[in-house]
Amino acid sequence: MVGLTDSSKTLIKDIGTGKQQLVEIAKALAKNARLLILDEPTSSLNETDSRALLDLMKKLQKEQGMTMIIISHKLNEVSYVADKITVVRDGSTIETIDARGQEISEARIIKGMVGREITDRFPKRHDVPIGDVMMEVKNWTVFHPEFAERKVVDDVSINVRRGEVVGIYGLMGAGRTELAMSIFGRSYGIGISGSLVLKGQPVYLTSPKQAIAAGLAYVTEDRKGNGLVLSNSIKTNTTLANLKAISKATFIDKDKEYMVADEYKQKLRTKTPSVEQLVGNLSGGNQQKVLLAKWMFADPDVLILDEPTRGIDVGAKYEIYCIINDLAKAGKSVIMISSELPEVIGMSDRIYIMNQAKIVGEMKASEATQENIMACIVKSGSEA
Amino acid sequence: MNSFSIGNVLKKNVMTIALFAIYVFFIIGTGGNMFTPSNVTSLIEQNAYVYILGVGMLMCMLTGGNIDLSVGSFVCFMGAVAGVFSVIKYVGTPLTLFIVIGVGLVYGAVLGFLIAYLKIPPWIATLAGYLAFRGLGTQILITVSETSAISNFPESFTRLFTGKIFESPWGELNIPCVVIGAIAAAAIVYINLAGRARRIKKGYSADPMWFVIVKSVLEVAVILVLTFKLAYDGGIPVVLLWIIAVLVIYGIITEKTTIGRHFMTVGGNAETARLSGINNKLIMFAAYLNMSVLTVLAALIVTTRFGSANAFAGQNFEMDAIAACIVGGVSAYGGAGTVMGMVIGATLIGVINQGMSLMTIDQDWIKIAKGAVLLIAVVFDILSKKGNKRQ
Repeated sequence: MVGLTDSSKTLIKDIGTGKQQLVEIAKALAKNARLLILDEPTSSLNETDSRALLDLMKKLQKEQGMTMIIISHKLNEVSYVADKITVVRDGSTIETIDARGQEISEARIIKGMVGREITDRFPKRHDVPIGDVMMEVKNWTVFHPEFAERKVVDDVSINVRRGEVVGIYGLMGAGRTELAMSIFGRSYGIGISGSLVLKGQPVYLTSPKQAIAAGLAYVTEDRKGNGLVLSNSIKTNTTLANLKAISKATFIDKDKEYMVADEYKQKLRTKTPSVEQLVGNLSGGNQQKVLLAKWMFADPDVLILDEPTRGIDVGAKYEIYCIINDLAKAGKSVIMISSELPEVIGMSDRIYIMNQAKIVGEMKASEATQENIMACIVKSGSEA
Repeated sequence: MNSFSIGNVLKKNVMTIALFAIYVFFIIGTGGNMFTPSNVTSLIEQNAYVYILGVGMLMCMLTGGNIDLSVGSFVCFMGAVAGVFSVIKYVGTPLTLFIVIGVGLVYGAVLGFLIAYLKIPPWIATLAGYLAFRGLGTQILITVSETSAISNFPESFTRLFTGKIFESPWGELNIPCVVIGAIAAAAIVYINLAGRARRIKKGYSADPMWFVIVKSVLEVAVILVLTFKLAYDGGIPVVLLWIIAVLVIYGIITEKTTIGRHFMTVGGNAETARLSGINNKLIMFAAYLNMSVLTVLAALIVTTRFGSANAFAGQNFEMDAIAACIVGGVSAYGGAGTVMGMVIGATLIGVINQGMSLMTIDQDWIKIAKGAVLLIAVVFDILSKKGNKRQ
């Protein structure tokens, strides 16, 4: 019924996340559910699978009269499937828009979410000159740590200049995170080959510790899993990657630590009563800010931001974009990995397109449109 | 968050308050017997090993709730080794110490390597040590001695861990002890007041003056009572110096240094720690190497206290150390815990042990009581955390 074509005996771990999501729905249907609540059902799916899932929702509604609630950060999805849209912000209902019989624009929903009309979803870039090449990766190949014959990054060459924001767009599973983590001190994958050049000097990094010392920072996509220590305070999380700067002969200067954390709290406008607050008690957007603060305090030359705005609300997204622009202005090189096309186009100077472990296209942001980026991916897919 | 409230203070120190209440209860229950100078001294001497092993266990647990099951058996084994060299082979005391510490380092390094680099789960790797060292220690003792125990350690050896400093006859007031106690009390008052003044100068929120005074008075009272009890029982036990040294050193390491922060981070979220440039494997290795060194110290303390190395030494010591940590609020999942908490936990269990023994309550009931205390402490900890989240 949900449109699965695999054998019913296939193990869940052997099918893709998109199909896993379908199994999840089938499971609910098997219990004769009358009300289906889908919480971020597409957060781990690519565009095609997402669309298939949304179409399935429409079908269930039409054919079975099923009532469904979809919770999502993706505005286009909500306006595509929903009859009624309720905007929730800071734990309370803001408004409910009836979508039947009329097209609800995303701008209309955003207005409800931020309480004001955002004319520009992306802040203006500061006009900064783009400098020399800061980091260059050549012929980078990485193999999967468990399936040693599988290439997860295949002969990738990219570079980023001082003051530049480079976007890497790709669908889920394209190998973007693997690329980033393998560059960051070989913290992912095996059999890594290729060369890494920082400020004109070839370097060989074998641990995150060395990568940090060399001026790299990897801001993870999984802030709860491997970015922050949720049971610790904002203060200790902020200074974690650069404890040296606040200590003398291993003794931590607690006053300095407090001041550093408080400074970043104000600079990034993290919403919290105190930096002694546990990170686990913060919202996603504020956690992301703490994560950014942590890596900004490490004072890197190159920041690799992996999905920096995943799972956070529109207002916080805008603030994160401002921080990224400020970083570029300060002469940092930023690599932004994202699977949201408007974000990549709106924020980057230059865009690499990644698909199936390879870089399949490179273009200036001024030339990029959603159509020609997707065309790159489709073209590479048909060649393979 | 920073605002001062009596409720918060009580909540934070609930274990300390419980310890006081239970201690007072047993003093009354034993008709004051528990509070005699000799029983206060023996409370410290009997539980010395728990404090030492508890510190080592704390460091292991911080890295992610990891434990070392082999410490009790290793205490037995190291006692036997020390006995063989010191008593049977007439090796001098400095060289004997050198050898036992060397053996401890070797075992710690092997254990650390197995756990940190070969990724063997700690409880399995240390279970092997738990079994093997009990057997090995017993075999050594049976082989070298007809009574399967080694005693008659030279005085140069026992003197390092037993007896009193500046010993005076029993019942007479020991002046050096009183002087040291007074200095310690003055130091506490100074630290409390200076700390508050410093916070105010820097513009941080500080506790109100009356609270600092009440806190100081209570702390001074505890120190002075302890001082006079010890002073009437011949002076400060040598072992107390070892305990204080270990507690202070590790208290500073865990609270104030990057090393302690690394331990907490590895336990809080290992993957985050790794990606933040922390060498997780080295931390795990250090935790078990450190545990073994402290176990050697505990072995020396226990062996000299009983004056002999025997096959039953160190039984259930690992459980005592783990229980002290858990009752003291050390997280069983890692990433959180303090030396001070462990000390409270260890003392609480020690007080229950001694109190019930003095009331001539059966050993089985003592075990039941200790089990109940452990469970209550954990349940209370979890419930109070839930309460915090709801705020």
